[in-house]
Amino acid sequence: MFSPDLFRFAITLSFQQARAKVRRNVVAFAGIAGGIVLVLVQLGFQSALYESAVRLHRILNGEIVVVASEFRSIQDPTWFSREWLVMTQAHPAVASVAPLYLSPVAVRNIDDRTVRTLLGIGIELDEPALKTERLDADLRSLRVPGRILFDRKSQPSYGDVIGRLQRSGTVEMTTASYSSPLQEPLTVVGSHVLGGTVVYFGTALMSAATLTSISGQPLQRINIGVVKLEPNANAAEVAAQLQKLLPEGTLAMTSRALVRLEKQFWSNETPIGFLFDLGALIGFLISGIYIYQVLFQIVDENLAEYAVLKSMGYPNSFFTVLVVCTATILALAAIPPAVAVSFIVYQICVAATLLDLELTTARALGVGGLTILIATLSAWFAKRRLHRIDPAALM
Amino acid sequence: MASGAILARVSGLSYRYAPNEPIVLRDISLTIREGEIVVVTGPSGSGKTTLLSLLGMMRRVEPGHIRLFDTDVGDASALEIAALRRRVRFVFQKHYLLRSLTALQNVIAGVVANATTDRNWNETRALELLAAFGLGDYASKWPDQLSVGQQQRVAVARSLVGRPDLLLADEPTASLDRMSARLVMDQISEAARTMHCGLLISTHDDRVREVATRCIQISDGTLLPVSTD
Repeated sequence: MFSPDLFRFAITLSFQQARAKVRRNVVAFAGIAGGIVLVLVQLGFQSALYESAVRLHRILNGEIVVVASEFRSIQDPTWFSREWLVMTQAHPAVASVAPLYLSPVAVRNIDDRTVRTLLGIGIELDEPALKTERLDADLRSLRVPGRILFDRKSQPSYGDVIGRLQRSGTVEMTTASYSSPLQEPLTVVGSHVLGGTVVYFGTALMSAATLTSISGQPLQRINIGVVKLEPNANAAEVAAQLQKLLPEGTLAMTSRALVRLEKQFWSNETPIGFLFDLGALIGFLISGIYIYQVLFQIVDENLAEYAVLKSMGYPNSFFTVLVVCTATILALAAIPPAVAVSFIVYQICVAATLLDLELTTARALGVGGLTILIATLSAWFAKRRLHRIDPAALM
Repeated sequence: MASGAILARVSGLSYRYAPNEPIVLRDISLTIREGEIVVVTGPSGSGKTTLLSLLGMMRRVEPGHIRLFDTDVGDASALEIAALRRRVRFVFQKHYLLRSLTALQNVIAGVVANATTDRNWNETRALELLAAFGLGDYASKWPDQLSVGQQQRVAVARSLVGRPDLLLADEPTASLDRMSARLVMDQISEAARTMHCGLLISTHDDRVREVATRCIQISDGTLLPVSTD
């Protein structure tokens, strides 16, 4: 009944009607594209936030981690006894263990002396808990206490540390406290690449001894225990077995599970995840409403023309297909400019925040697909107007 | 006189727009055969357009009967009505061209719903018709680039492209100049002759009556004289 010619005609008519409408009503089209931009930007921010939060997790030099049972996020470090990490070495599948120390460190901006906080990362230099090759870091110079590597992807709020480092070879920084005049000198002797988060705008890599001396945290209290397994060991199974070995108050999990836990923290336990989800939802709603508005106008303006087609025996299904095609074409037409604008917005945000904001093909395709779905829903609502097609009104 | 097969048979047809409104058509009986050009005249408001709309299945028939191509319209399902409509074409007083389609696409629109035709044939036939209506150079023009007369000629071409069995025309020459009216009537007559299409034309135009094989008149909803076919 619904011939290919009829389908082709529906596409031609819907395309030309949509094109004519968009030419006459650029604002409505901009509304559709604007909604998609909002979705892409919100999802981009959300992804950048989550990815920045788990950047450290992804370079842990082991398949399993041990953390305190109250651990939720590295933004809020928890600790447990180093002895418990050592206990895991009794398991035959464990090749080595390494402690990771994390602590917020208040430092003075080297240019304007304002106090800023960065994330201090302390590692055992002989058994680093991080894949240092991924950090592009030379650890040898950290053996001298008080020496640190500064994050090249830190935001400029700490002053021009990297610029001065490149010019002078070393940079003197000092720790700071809002409540105490006491401060300790820190010497920046090199750099690494990690990147900040929304909480810490930069990181400093140092020896465990240096970090514990400036934070006051005993070396016995570690924040994350990183467990490297023998080749071919099953991480999930070993983690479950280690959990039984460990005393209460500790959690053993795979490194991937730690990534999931951190993302869950941002998604469920902070308002940020909700706000980005809401922003994306609002973006979809805006697109949907504008698509509906344009469809509604197209149907309304062409009712007489549709009535002529109906008088010629066009089936009701033709008009449904026509509206769905029009909605899809509107969505498809809005996606490329929306992606282009989003790309520019991403670039501006990357320059301003140094966050890992990347407009991936998967995200663009996903949002495009969802936009088409929203357009189809809009078409479903706009279809109700079609019952007003009455050939008798032509006479 | 007329001897072709019966395309439409109307019997005992009456109509009013709403229960409390005056009757518009009263006990109409009429037959239209293949190749016939029936011209219906009558003063404004006499019921000519209503009769056309009932034959075109745009309004519900009650009471009375309309049989189109041996199918009782009153008993037909929505699908059967859609199928019947594909064999009937209208020429309205206004052209009602699709503004977002070119003249050629508008003409083709008249045949796309007929599943049995093929695309190349449709386009060739549509171009031939446009040429026959003096619009060969206007195939790619948009409706708003055409004069009113040209628009109406495109609309008539659209109604003929699918080779309808029955053509219902409501004042088809009302908005046309002399030359355009001549072209339209020539083509419509040609359709009746070559395609054996039955025509029912409502008009005030004496030029249309010249091509009629039969004239009928409606006055106050009553057909005069009543067809005895």
